[in-house]
Amino acid sequence: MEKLLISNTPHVRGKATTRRIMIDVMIALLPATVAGIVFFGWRAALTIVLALISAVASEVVFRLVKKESVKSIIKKYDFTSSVTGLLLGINLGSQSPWYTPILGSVFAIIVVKMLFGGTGKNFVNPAICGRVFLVMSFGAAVGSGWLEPSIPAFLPTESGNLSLLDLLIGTGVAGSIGETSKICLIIGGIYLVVRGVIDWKYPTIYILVTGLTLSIFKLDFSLFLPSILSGGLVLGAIFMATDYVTTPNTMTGNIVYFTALGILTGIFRAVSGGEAVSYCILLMNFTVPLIDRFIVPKPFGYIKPEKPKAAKEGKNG
Amino acid sequence: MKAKDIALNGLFRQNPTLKLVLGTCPTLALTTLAMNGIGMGLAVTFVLTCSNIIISLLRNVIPSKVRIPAYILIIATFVTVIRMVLNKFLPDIAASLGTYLPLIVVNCIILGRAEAFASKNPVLASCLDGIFMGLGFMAALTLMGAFREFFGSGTLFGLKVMDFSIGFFVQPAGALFTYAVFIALYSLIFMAVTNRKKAPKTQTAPTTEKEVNGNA
Amino acid sequence: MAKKESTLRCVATLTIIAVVCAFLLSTLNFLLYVAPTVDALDGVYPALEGYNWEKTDTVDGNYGNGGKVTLAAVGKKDGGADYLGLIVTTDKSGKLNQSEYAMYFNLSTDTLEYAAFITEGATGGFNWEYAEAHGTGGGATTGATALTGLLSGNDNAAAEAELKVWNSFLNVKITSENVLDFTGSIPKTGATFTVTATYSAFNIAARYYYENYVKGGDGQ
Repeated sequence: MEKLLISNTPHVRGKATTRRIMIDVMIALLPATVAGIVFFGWRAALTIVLALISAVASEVVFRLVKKESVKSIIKKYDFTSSVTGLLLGINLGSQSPWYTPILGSVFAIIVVKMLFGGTGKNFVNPAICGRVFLVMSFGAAVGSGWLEPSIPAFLPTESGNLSLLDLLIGTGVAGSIGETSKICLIIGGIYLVVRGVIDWKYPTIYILVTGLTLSIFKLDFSLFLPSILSGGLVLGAIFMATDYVTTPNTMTGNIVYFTALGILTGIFRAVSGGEAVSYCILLMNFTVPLIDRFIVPKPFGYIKPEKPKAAKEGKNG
Repeated sequence: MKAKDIALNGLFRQNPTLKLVLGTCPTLALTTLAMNGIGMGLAVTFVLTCSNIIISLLRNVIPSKVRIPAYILIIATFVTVIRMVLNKFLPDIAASLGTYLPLIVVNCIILGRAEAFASKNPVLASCLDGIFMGLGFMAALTLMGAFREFFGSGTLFGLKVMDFSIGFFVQPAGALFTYAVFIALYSLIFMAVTNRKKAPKTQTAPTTEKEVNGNA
Repeated sequence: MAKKESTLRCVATLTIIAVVCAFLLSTLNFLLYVAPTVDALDGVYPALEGYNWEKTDTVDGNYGNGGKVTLAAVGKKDGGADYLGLIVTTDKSGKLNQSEYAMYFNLSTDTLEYAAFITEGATGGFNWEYAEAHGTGGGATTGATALTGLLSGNDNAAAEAELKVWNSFLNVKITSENVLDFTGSIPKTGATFTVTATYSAFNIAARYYYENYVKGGDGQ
């Protein structure tokens, strides 16, 4: 596990490693994707395929424009844009107009990823950015999906006709294609933990803190379970917030990051009553350089200097 | 030759929006419509030209200690004048520019040109500088406005062009995105032009560079 | 010595520029004055949402007492009472001089129902709840006597004492008894000076209403 976290100095990661991680992520997303297609039908499959194809195509076209040879593109292809495309696809509602996954993928790959230097250089998660771009542009059309019986995606206790089991499995829950079946997402998450791709602590912190914050804000602890099982929280916590590129480098940094993310999401949800996961992740992505600036790993055998020098520590690090 | 230089500086080489990156507040806020760009651009051109003329005339009279308050007084006067004129004769434009019209007072293009150009140059040159800097600002704002209006609302100068629109572009995030795209395109063209000039005469480029640094 | 001179020069230059600018602006302000349109009456009084305002002839709204009526319009709505909306612009006396006020009269009850600033004039900071803010307290005097007292040419102190809160003016029935000429002389004590412009605005509006809607017809 530890060797895969980017430590302080940027290390060059072998392409095989990036590829393996990305393929693992795609395998982990498979159960949720299948569940989404089963629940929402062929439109969902179409949305996912369009997002996936256009994401990969965007990267290839961008590289061709930059005069890279076809051979090198294939050789260097690391599957990150496939993951982005797939994530974006399952983050959209099944009734999204056909052009939205394409536009979202192009925006995510070209603007957010490639223009900033490609894999590992994007300062925010491309899939989240693509989704936010689409939600801003086309509003409810892509924000939430549709399935009989359609209920508000967030806080089901208000409509009351869904059991916690329904929420866990995703039967009869409206939402984005891949976010409804929590059990499938959790299975995928366990796979990633077993394969050593993500650390189980961070998504857990995010999910629990969000539920707690919301419960405290609303002074009602019966909301704890429904709130963590509704909306895109589990999907965001396992697959989006844990993106290596947009999380801090240290363990302390990560704990700060995911706790802050949870508090932010809880407050946003409590106050606005809407889904806030993607906006909160996007917002916290911006704070990653700041967190890394102030939480610096201690060099091995480091002894804390005497007090007057302690103030300088941050700068020197 | 000198006049041509001033004109080129304002419109292209030192474009206040795209090269000097001044006056970003109205640029980001007002470029949702192409028409706003023209209105704001004309208002700024008027204020800039008038204030440049007066400041250039008074450049030997105003003690350097109090030059900033003096400039602000002069600029504020002309901003109030243009505001009253627009309110009287073009109330629609005044309404669409809203609070950004009085905010021209603190638009850094105007104070920047007063400080960097008008306080050091004769009246005629300052007048030309004001006109062309203002036009450069107007051109940039209008182009950005047209881009955002076209993609964000599917219209151009208020006329329906297409049914499809991407709401992102008329929102604040779209403003920053558009600004970045335009600065990138501008830099691309700028580099292409300077490189072409470099080829026959190697001396042209460094002087331009110097000028840019000196005036920015 | 030289330093002193340059300071003097700085101050002098700034003063001259400021004076010239102020002169230019006040001239232009006069030349480019924009009369308020009926849109100004829309959305000020929340209870009158959906009313259509139609401009009426503004019959000599200038009573020579600190300001004038710059716009008069009648507002109508299906199922609602008719209203007279007035825009009163005050002159250069007291605080908030050259302010614009919107005043609303209910034509069926002859009462002043609502008043509000549209634009605050040269000096701001006036508190509508004037008397409350100054601790003189209100309530004891009814609206009608407040208005009567104000408009009947009482001396300054009395007028001030009776100007409790601006709400005192509300729901006052405009009759010949309570609309009397206010001579427009500016009270000299500071506190009263503060309210002069506002005070004129109410007076002017009441006067206008009386002259045009009570005096002549309406079975009065």
